[in-house]
Amino acid sequence: MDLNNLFNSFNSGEVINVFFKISSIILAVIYLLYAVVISKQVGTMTKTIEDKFNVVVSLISSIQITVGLILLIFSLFLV
Amino acid sequence: MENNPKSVNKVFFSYLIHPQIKFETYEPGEKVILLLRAHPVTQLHWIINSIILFIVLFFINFILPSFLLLNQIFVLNVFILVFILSFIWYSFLNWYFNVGIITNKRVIDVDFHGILYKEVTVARLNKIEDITVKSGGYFASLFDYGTVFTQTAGTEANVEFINIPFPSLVVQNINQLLGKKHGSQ
Repeated sequence: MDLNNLFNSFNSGEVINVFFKISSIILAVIYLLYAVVISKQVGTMTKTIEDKFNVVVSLISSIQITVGLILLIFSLFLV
Repeated sequence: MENNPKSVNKVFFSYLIHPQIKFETYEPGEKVILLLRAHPVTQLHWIINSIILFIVLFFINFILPSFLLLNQIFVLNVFILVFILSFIWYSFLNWYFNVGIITNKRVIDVDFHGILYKEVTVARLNKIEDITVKSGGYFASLFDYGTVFTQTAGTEANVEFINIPFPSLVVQNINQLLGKKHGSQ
């Protein structure tokens, strides 16, 4: 790729698109890992103290992992 | 019990009398008398931060650069929204699972520092030597919350309940239990 092509791709927003895609994928993966760790820890917490709201707490943690997966899919295919 | 303010003292699940819970180190025959969490007023900082972040999310759309595509703006909004919701969830978990438990046998403090680090401190009632209440500041006086320290004899760890509602009532409850304990010995 010569210098002109590089300028052209930058002007057409291609570089920005690639940068945006890579950033969003990295962020989505980090978020997914975070959601899994939090979900594991919520499991420990609900074992430590068991009450009637634990089902709701576990459900929200599962939703968090699902949201992480959706973010990753968005990053891979929508951006 | 002399002070049984059941209908009054449930400050958004931060002061529960005879709660229906089980905990990890539960001993047979043990009855949970009080479950304590930090007063909701002490959690206002993250609630206000979350509201500010939602407002920022709303206004950030007006200053987004024009070269971003519509789908990129949508994904960016979803990302920011998810991070704000995660912050709320993290803060809520931090409040909900950091509890103090008073049973007819023991005083237990369950702490999850930053969610990831767990610390459970237990003191048996017959080992408790001294109880201190610390409450100060405008909000603490207005909303009646404070910190209760229980000092124990020997090598047993001291237990502290930080920013709990009605600290004087909690001390009364512990004193009553101590009286029963020492009376029964």
